[in-house]
Amino acid sequence: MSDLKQLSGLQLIVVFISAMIGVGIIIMPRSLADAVDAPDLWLSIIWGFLLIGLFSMIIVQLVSRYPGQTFFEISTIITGKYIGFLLNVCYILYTLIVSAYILRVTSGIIKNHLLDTTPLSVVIGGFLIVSTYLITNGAGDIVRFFQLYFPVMMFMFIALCLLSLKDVDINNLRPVFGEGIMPTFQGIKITFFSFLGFEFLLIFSKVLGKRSPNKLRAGMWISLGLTAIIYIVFHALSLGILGLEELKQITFPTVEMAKSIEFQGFFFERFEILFLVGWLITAFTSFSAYYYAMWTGVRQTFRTKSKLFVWMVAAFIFGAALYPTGMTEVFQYSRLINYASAIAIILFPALLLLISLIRRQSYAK
Amino acid sequence: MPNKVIISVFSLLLLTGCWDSKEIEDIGVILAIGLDTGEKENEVTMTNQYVDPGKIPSLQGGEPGGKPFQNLTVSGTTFLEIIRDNSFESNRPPNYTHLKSIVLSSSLLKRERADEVIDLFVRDHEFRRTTPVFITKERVRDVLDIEPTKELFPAIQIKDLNENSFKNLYIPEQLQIGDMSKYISQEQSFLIPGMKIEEYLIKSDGAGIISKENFQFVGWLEKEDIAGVRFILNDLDGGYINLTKKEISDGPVSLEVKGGSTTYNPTITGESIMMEFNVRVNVSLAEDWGNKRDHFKKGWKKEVEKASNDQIEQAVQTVLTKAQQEYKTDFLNLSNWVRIHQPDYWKKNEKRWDNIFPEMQTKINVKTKITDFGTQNLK
Repeated sequence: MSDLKQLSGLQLIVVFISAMIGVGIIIMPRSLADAVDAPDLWLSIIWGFLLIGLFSMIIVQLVSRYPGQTFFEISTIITGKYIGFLLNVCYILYTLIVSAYILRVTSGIIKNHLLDTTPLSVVIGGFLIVSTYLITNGAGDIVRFFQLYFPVMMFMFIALCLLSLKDVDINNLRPVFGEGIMPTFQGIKITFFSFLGFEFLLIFSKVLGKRSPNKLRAGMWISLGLTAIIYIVFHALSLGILGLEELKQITFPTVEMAKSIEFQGFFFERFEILFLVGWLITAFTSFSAYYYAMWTGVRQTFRTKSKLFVWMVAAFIFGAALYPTGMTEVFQYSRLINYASAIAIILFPALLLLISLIRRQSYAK
Repeated sequence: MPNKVIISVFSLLLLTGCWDSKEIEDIGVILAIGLDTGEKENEVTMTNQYVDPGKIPSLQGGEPGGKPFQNLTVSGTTFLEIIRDNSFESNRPPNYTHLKSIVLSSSLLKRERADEVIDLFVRDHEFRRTTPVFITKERVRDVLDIEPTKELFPAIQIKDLNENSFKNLYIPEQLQIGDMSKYISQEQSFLIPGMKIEEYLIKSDGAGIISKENFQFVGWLEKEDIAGVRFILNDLDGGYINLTKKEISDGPVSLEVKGGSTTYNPTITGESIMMEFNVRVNVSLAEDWGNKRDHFKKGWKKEVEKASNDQIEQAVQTVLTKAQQEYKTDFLNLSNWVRIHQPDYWKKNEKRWDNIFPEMQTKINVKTKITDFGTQNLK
C-alpha cells in the first residue's frame, strides 16, 4: 500500500486536471457545436465552469466536515447503515457506467486510428489490466502516476495548439453574441459534464490530510479554471480550423484537427499518432480515477480487503464497456450517463450536506 | 529458479519483433487517385496510381527501367468496391496514407453530387484531410498518364501545380479535401482548382465551380478570372499586375504585389443589401517600359496607381458579374461576410440568400499603393 499521507497543493491540482480532462476533449467539440449552433460556443464553457464551481463548493463543504472519510463512509455516517448502503450502491453503479463509457470511447478511438485489426475486446482488456495494476497499489501511486505524466500530456496539448495555430480561420469564430447570449446557455448541459472528475474530492479525501477548507476551495477553483482554459483553447482551435458546420459532422474533431497538421517530409508528417499517444494518457488517467473510485466503493461498502475483488470489478467494467454494439449506441448512452452523473455529483452530496447540517454533525476539529 | 525459466521462455515468444512486418515493395502505395465517369450509365471509374519501388532510379545510377508508377483503372458503382476490385489485377493492397493528390473529372461532378463522391475519402481514416483536390475537363486517366518533367510521379507534379500561388495571381489557391468537406457541410458553393493537358504537359487552368444547390459542377472559371477571385477572397500573398499599353499611356508596366487585404462592408437599406469591397493592394514597381517616368520625382505614381486600380476593379467586377448574372451562385462565400457583419439580417434571410445574391448591389473601391521602385531607374 501507499506511503503518501497528504497531497501537496500542486498534486491536488494535477490530480483534478488529469481526472477531468479525458474523452471530453475529443468529443465535446461536436456535441457542443450541435447544442449551441453558434460560433461563440466557447462561452458555454465559461458558464459551465462557473456553475460546476458552485456545485464543487458543496462537495468541499461536505468533505471538510468529515476529514479523512470517503463518500462511501460519509454516506453511512450521515444516513445510517441501510440508506447509506443504497446510496453507495447507486454511486458504485454510477462510477461503473462512467468508467465503462470512458473505456469504450477510448478503445473506439484506438481501434479507429491506431490498432485497426485488433479486436475491440483485446484493446479494452489490455487497457483494463494496466489500469488494474496501477489502482491496486493505492491512492499514493495513482497520484504519483498522474504527476509523472502530467507534463507529457501538457506538452502534447501545447504542441498541438502551436502547430495548428496557422490553420485557424478567425472568421469561423465570428460573430460573438451574433445570436445573443441565450444559445450559449444551451451548451451548459454539455460543458457542465465535461468537468466530471472533480467529484474525486469525495474519494481522494483519504489523502487530503488536514487541509483547511479555504485552501481546498482555492485548489478546486484553480484546477477547474485551468481545465476550463484548456477546453476553451481547444474549442477555439477546432472551431477555427474546421468551422461550425464541419464540427457537427466529424466523429472525433480533435483527432481530425491533429490529423490536419502536416509538414511534408518531416517528422511531424503524421502528428496525430504522437498526439494520440499523449491523449491516451489523459484518457487513462481519468479512467483510472473512476476505476479507483469504484473499487474503493466496493471495498468499503462490502467491507472486504481481498484483492480478488478488483478482478470482479474489472469484469463488470469489461462487460459494460462491451455492451453497446457500436459508436452510435455509445453516444446515445452518453445522454443517460449525464442524468446519472447529475444525480451522483449534485443530488447526493447536496442531500448529504443538508442532512448533516440539520443534524449538526461534524467531525472537523 | 523455475520462475526465471518460465519468464525467459515466454519472453522468447513475446519479444520476437516484426512478426507482422510487411516489405515496402509489397505495399501498394497510392500517390494519386483519379475519379471519373464510367462507360456505362451510373458507373464510376477510379484510377489508382501505384508506386513501383523497383523502378525508382537510385542515386547510384541504377538503370532507369521505365516509369516508376503504374496506373490501374477499374470501374464499379462505389469507390470501395473499386478499391477492393483492384485485387483482381494486383496483389498489392492499395494503401492511401501517402496520397498526394485527388483528381476529379468535371463530367463526373456534372452527373454525381460532390458530397457523395468524396464520402469515402473523408470517412475512411486512411485518407487525410490535407490532400489537395483538382478538377479537370480531360479524361482523368489521361492526366495521370502524362509523364512528369520535374518530379518522378505525376501525382506530385499535380500537387505542385498551385504551390506557387503566392507568386502568381492567376493560380487558384490549393483546395484540400478537408476544405471541400467543410464547404459541403456549410452548404456553400466553392471552386476547385482546375488543370488541363497542353502539349503533353499538365498545366494549372482556372477553376471549376461547384454549386451548393446539389453540389454539382456548373461551370468553369477561366485562368484570367482567377485574379479577380483572389482579390475578392482576400487571398493576396503575391503575384503581378500587368498594365498594357492600352491601360497606361507609356507602357507596359509590371507591378509586383507585395501584399494587401480586402475588407467587406455589407450595408442594409430597407430590404436591399449592398456589399462594399475595399481592396487595398501594396505593390512595388517591378518592370517599367516607359522611359518618360522619373521615379525620383513626385507624381509619377498617380498615373500607374490609377491604371492599376482600374484593372483590379475590372477584374473584380468581371468575376462578380459571372457569379451574380451568369451562374447565380455564390462561390465567393460572400454570404460569410453578411453572416458576420449583419447577423440579424442573415438570420432573417438565410433561406432566401440564393434569391438575394444575384440582386445584391456591389461597390468596389480599390486603392493601389506603390511602395518601392527598385534599385535603379533606367532613363
